[in-house]
Amino acid sequence: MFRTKVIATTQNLTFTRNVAMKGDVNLSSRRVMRKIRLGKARPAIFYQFDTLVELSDGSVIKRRSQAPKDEIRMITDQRNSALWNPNRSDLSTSDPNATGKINKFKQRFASFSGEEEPVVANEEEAPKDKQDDLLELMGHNVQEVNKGGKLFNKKESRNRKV
Amino acid sequence: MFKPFTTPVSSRLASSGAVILKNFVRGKRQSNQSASTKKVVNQLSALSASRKQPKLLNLCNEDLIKHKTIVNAWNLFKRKVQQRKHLQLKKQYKSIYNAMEDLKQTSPKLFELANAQQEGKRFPLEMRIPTDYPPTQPWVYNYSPKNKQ
Amino acid sequence: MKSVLGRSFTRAYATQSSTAPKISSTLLLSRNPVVTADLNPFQAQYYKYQNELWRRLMWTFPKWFYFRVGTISEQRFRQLNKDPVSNNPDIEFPRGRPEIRHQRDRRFKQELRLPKTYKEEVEVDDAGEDTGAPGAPANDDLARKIVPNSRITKADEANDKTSLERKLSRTLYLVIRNDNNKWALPNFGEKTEELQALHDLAEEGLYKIGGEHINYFNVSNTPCHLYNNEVENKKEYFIKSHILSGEFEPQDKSLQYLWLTKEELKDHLNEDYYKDIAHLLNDV
Repeated sequence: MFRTKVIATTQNLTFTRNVAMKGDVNLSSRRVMRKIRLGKARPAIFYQFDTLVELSDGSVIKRRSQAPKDEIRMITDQRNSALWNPNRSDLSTSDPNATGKINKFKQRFASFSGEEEPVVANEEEAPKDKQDDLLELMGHNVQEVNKGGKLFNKKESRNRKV
Repeated sequence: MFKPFTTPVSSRLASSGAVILKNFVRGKRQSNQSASTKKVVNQLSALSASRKQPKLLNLCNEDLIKHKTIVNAWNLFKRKVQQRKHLQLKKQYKSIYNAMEDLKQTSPKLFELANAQQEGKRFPLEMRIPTDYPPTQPWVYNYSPKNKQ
Repeated sequence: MKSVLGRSFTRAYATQSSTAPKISSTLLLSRNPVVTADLNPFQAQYYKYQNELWRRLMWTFPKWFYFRVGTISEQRFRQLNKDPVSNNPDIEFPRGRPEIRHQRDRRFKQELRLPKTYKEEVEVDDAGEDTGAPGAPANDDLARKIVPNSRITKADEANDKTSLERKLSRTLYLVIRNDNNKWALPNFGEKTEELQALHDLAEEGLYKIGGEHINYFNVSNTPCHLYNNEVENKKEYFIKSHILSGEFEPQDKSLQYLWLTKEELKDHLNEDYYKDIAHLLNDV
């Protein structure tokens, strides 16, 4: 009995959502809006904190903000972004776009992907040698399979028609 | 033996985790709203004015006159600033006009050059809006143009 | 009709003078303010008054919305912000009964303090005294306290008028000491051999006297003012531009230069000259 109950409760728990669905929200219909008479309207002034915002170069802006944070520090912004400062050489960020997940991955594993690309000097020789080695490994009478076939060439097809 | 479980618990109550944790609330009726309703009610309560508005400001006559005087003085100040600015802009326009008219007379070729359409001109990226407190290094001395080299 | 008359008049003027006035371009190079303008006392008082009114009329902070009940952040917030004195019917309140709604006395403005990310040794436990120094955190610590830099810089204290870091709240203009040993805006005469646009003339001249280490923005190729210099028989066309970064480094060691505000220009420049160009200069 005990076990079944637990299962039942867990099952119920799985059904709870954090997102309000249609027909899920039941606001009381008893709420009656008070009529606002002429000249009695008052503006909505939400509570605001005095916030100091520090930009990346140390300059500070004072502002009011509804969010309960009175000190905000920017790590990257216009003041140290290479995109906004094209004529400065003292900015440390090498790649201004290196903020996303993929860029982080690339930065981390860049050394592994580098091996695949051959050195520019012996570009013509190296890949050929590699392929020969592979063929040798597979055996003598192996024929290379040209995968992919021919790609459609727009220009050529147009020429043919004419 | 397992008393809390033998008592029938309505599925809705069990569904919200808070009820399991805090099933005893003194002097407060347990609301039978769903979790999403509660969330929406919470959001609306942050927006609504009910019980959050401060008391109305009731100024006595003297204070009202003081307030009006302050606001009038401010408007006067603003107007003066505005007028001064307007006058300055007018003068600046006039001086541009004069300079160009004169240039037309003295050197038509220079006038053509000065009046030419400046294509590809962009607002400078490095221009900054004034902040309330200065940066740690107030001025950027590092200038190494890329396109010049 | 009018234009014809005007033209004939200028022609007559040109023939009258012995030699035609030389065309030159004057550079009005300004450094825009780095910090916001200083408020005059009236402005400061008015803003303070408005701010207080605004605070008084603000709604109660919806604490339950931003801090969920039972969380640590809510607890910290509650620790910093004690509830006001409740409206106890047994107590006499000589200055009016408190009206508490959502833990706020709605007769007054609500003053809240927020928990900080750095260590702050004040009145969490009733110590009473503000000890001040919270054991200097590392400078690169992201959670450190924000301490704004002073609006008055070292250059201001040393009264170094050649520095670009002085008077951050004002617009500064570049003036140099010319051949007549008088302060004036840098002026560059036209060369005889080739025709050169006025802004090119100004740019070349600037690089010649101040080095190429200047990043500046030319507002327009159109001259913004004409000053007839009758002493040197020159026509000075003014070109407006802003310095953005870099520095004015005099190439000639003997060249004296200053970065001055509008008021200081009045003291340094020739009186007629200043009067003629005063409307080009920014008051802020």
